[in-house]
Formats: sequence, C-alpha cells, structure tokens
Amino acid sequence: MTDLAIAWILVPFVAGLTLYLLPVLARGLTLAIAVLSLCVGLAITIQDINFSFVLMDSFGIALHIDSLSGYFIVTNALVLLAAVLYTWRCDYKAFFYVLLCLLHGSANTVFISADFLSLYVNLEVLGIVVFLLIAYPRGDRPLWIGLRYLMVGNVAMLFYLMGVGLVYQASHSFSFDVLLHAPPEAVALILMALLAKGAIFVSGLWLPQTNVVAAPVVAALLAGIVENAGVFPLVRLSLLYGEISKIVQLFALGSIFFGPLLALVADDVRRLLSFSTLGQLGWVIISPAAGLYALMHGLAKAALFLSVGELRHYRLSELRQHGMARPIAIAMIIAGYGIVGVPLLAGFSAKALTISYLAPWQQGLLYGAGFLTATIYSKLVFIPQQPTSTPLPLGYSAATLVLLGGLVFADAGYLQAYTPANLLRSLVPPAVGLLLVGLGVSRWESSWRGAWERLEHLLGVMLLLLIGLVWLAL
Amino acid sequence: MIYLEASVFITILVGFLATIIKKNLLMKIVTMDVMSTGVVALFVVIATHSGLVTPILRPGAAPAIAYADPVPQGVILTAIVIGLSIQTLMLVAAMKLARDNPTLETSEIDQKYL
Repeated sequence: MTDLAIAWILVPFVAGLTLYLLPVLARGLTLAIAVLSLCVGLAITIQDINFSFVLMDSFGIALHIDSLSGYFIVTNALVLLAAVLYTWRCDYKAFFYVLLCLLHGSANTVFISADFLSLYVNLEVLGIVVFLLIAYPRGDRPLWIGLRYLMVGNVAMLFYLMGVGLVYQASHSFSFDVLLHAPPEAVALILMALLAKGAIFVSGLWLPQTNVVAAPVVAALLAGIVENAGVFPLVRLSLLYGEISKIVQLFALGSIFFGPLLALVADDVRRLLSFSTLGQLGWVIISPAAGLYALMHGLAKAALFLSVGELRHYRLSELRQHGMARPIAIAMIIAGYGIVGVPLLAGFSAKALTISYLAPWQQGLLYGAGFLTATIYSKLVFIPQQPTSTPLPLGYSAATLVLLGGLVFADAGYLQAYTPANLLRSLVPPAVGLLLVGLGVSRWESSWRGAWERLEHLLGVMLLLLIGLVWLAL
Repeated sequence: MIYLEASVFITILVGFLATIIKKNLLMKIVTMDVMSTGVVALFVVIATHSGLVTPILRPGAAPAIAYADPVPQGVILTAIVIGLSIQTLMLVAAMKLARDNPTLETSEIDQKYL
C-alpha cells in the first residue's frame, strides 16, 4: 500500500519533468494522470481507506490518507481533466502542461500530508506554479497580478515557517499532532498564514483581481484546485483540535457573509464569481463535511469560469444588453444553482450535510447566507439568451460535460439529505433570490475597486489578522 | 541568548514592516529577503538550544557533548532553496515590469493594472 501511494505521488512530478524532453506527449500524458488520480481518489473515497505512514525514520515525511483527502483528490483530478479537455484544441505549449502536472502533483501531496514541513514545501511549489500559470500570457498585467500573488504567498509562508519553528522548539516534532503543545503565538502564526493562503475573509482579497486577469482555464484551476489546497490544512487542523475549529468557524462565518455581500455589488461577472468563491470557501471549512462541499464547489466554480471564457462581454450591464449564447447560459445557470443548493445537484446534499454538523444558531446564519448566494446566482437567469449561430468549441463542451456530470453524480455522496423538509427548505432561497433580482437588486452594481485590494493593504491586513488571532488564541 | 533571540524577531518584524512601507518594488523584494533571513536565523537559534557543537560524531570525542540540533538546520536548507527560487522569480518579474514602469512604484503599478 505504501509503495503504491509513493508511486502515485511521484507520477505527476516525473511526468511533468518528462514532458520537457517529450513535448509531443504533453496532452495525452496529462490526461492519463488526471484519469489515474480520479481512480485513486474514487477508490479512497468509496472504500473509505484510512491509513497513515511515515517516509524515512524519525523526522520523516508523515502522510495521512482518508476519505476527506479522497474527496479533494477527486476534485483535483476532475478539474485537471476538464482543463486538459478545454485546452486540447488550443495551442498551449508543452510548458503549460508541465505546469499542470506539477500543480496536480503538489496539490495531491497537500491533500495527504500530515506534517507541517511537507505541507510548507508543497504549498510553496503550488505558489510558484500558480505564479507561472498566471503569468503564462507574458503580458504586463498578468505578470503584476502573478507577482502580487507570489509576494502575498511568500510573506504568508514566512510567517508560517516562523510558527513551525516555534512548534518544533516546543515539542521537537513537525507532526500535526503536536500543535497544541506549542505557544499560542505559533498557532496564531500558522493559522494566519493558512487563512491568507486559502483566501478566507479579508485576507482573501487578492483573489478577485487574480481571477479577473488570469486566463479562464487558469481561473478554473485556481477555483477548483489551488484554493482547495489552501483551505485543506485548515480543515485538517480543525478536525484535530476543537479549539482551533472554533477560531476557524469564526473566520468562516465572516467569509460566508463578506464574500456574497461584495459579490452583490460587483459589476464584472468574473468578480461576482470570485467574491462568491470567498464565501463558499467559508462554507467548506466551517464543518467536518468539507470533502463533499469542496468537491461540489470546485466542480461548479470551474465550470462557471470556463463558461465565462466563452463570453464576449464581462460587465453585467453589457451582458444584459447583448445577451449570451443559450448553451453557455444554461451551463452557467446549472453550475450556479448547483452552488445555491437546488435538489438533484450536489450542492443540495453538500449543504444539508454541512449544516447537519453545526449548532442551531450557526444553522440559522448559514441558511440566511443561502439567500445571498441565491440572489447573486439568480442574476444569471435574468441575462437574455440568444440562439447560437456558430457551434461551441468541442473542448469547452467536453470540459463542461465532465464538470456538470460530476456535479450531478456527487449528489450520491449523501442521499439521506432528500427529506421533504430539506427539499422544501432548499427551494425558498432561489425563489426569494429570483424575486429580489426581479425587483432590481442589480441597481447596486458599481465599478468600485476597494483600496484594500492593493498590495500594501493585502500585506497589512496580515498583521491585523495576526494580532486578532493572537488575541483569540491566548 | 535572549538578546540573540530578540534581535532575530526584530529582524523579521523590520523586514515585514519595510515590505509594507517601502514604495519601490525592488525594495519590497529586498525587504522580503531580510524577513526570510530573520526566519532562517530563527531556525538556527532554535537549533542551538540543545548545544553549540557541530553535530558530527568524531572518534574519541566525549559521549556527553552538547551537540546542536541538526534537524532544524537541515529543514531550513529546504526553505532557503525555496526562498532563493522565489526571490529569483520575483526579480525576473520586476525586471520585465521595469520596461513599461521604469520607476517601479507599486502604487502606480497597482493603479495601472488593478
């Protein structure tokens, strides 16, 4: 079992380096890796495998595989699969597929790592790969946005490393299990870095412009893989420690309201989607049912971003004027309502499962936040649809079919959600959302870009967050 | 020892604050390096808690020598390498950006590209 696991971890990295020598194989090999990881992820999830091992002796690399990792690995594989299908006919160079392989490999390793140091290394590799992916078009604007991402990530990871040093000082180990022997400053440093990396609450404000500037396929990868990798350690740590889970839930709740409220006033469809991501990541980390929710959100958001890539206009006002092609609109509405949580799509069961783990007051708040989410996605319904004259690109259709198919099948993850009460409850938010948009919520859209999205502010927020966390952890 | 530790933390803090305060992109990258030097030094200081002697076993050495802890030193090597590669990437990006933004003022670049 251990040998198989090691082989599976190594495959994407070896493949990535091989592609440099054999660029002809680029697409095929990346596709094969995605399929392999999909099988591995499904096997882990369905058979409920739970085992951990340490590579090398003491102070070695600790890895832990369980069904939670399984869900994240399946998401990772499906989004990679969609990305390869989407770019199949485009003329991306082999280097792009090298990056995809490395991205996939490092994200997979994040999902199974059980010590702070391998987590650090993999998150850093992920950060570098994401920078290269964003800057791939070589323009000045993508370069700056990529650089901003790299700088924010680098500073966050330096704080993380400081925290890890303090953890080691206290207990002579890097394992996740010893975190609470460390002083509260160490916990605060590590949590702050992970919150910034995972784009939760105010520390996630680097996300919207990054998604606007990145190519659609990269935005889909960001939403489906990178952000999941960022929040996964938070989920793992809050499963291990009740105290940490309380702090994480607090930030998650902040994020759940903060994201959709800003999405409501966004005037660009890509900003609308990424502010919604900010809120949805809060949903992912708030309960132990993170796996199903991350799967649902990753697939739906990736489908939404790929669809946005096919549009000719991005401003919502222009979209309302010119309309969008019917198949794209239908795909976007299905994915959007998947996130809202209408029955027959995975969002319904994921939401029901998430809510079932929480205290009554939290359930009430989350149900209220559902109305906000429903309102922002109902905007998509009101955009006029036009019949298409030219057929859609084959790659886009295949990728969307994979993602939306996954969204339907993932619904089987928690079939107990289908009770009459849940069904009735899930239909109220979309109805209210449609009503609100019909009444003219769209009037509030503005092209306002807050100063808090600038580099200095992104870095400064980290310090404020750190002070807040020390205060919470003491 | 306590002074050493204090100065390490001060280095990290100064590096971080300068990253926010300095307006020039190149200075920001350099101050980030100052911060990462501080973090590396922190690991080295942590390694000395168990002793100061280089942890290499020599024939005939007394068994109860207070060796320095090799684990944090080994671990921080990885971080140094990663930090180096990120610094390089950032400098390359700054070089490319300098073509159209010769002053490299971050506030101006932010305004232009955000």
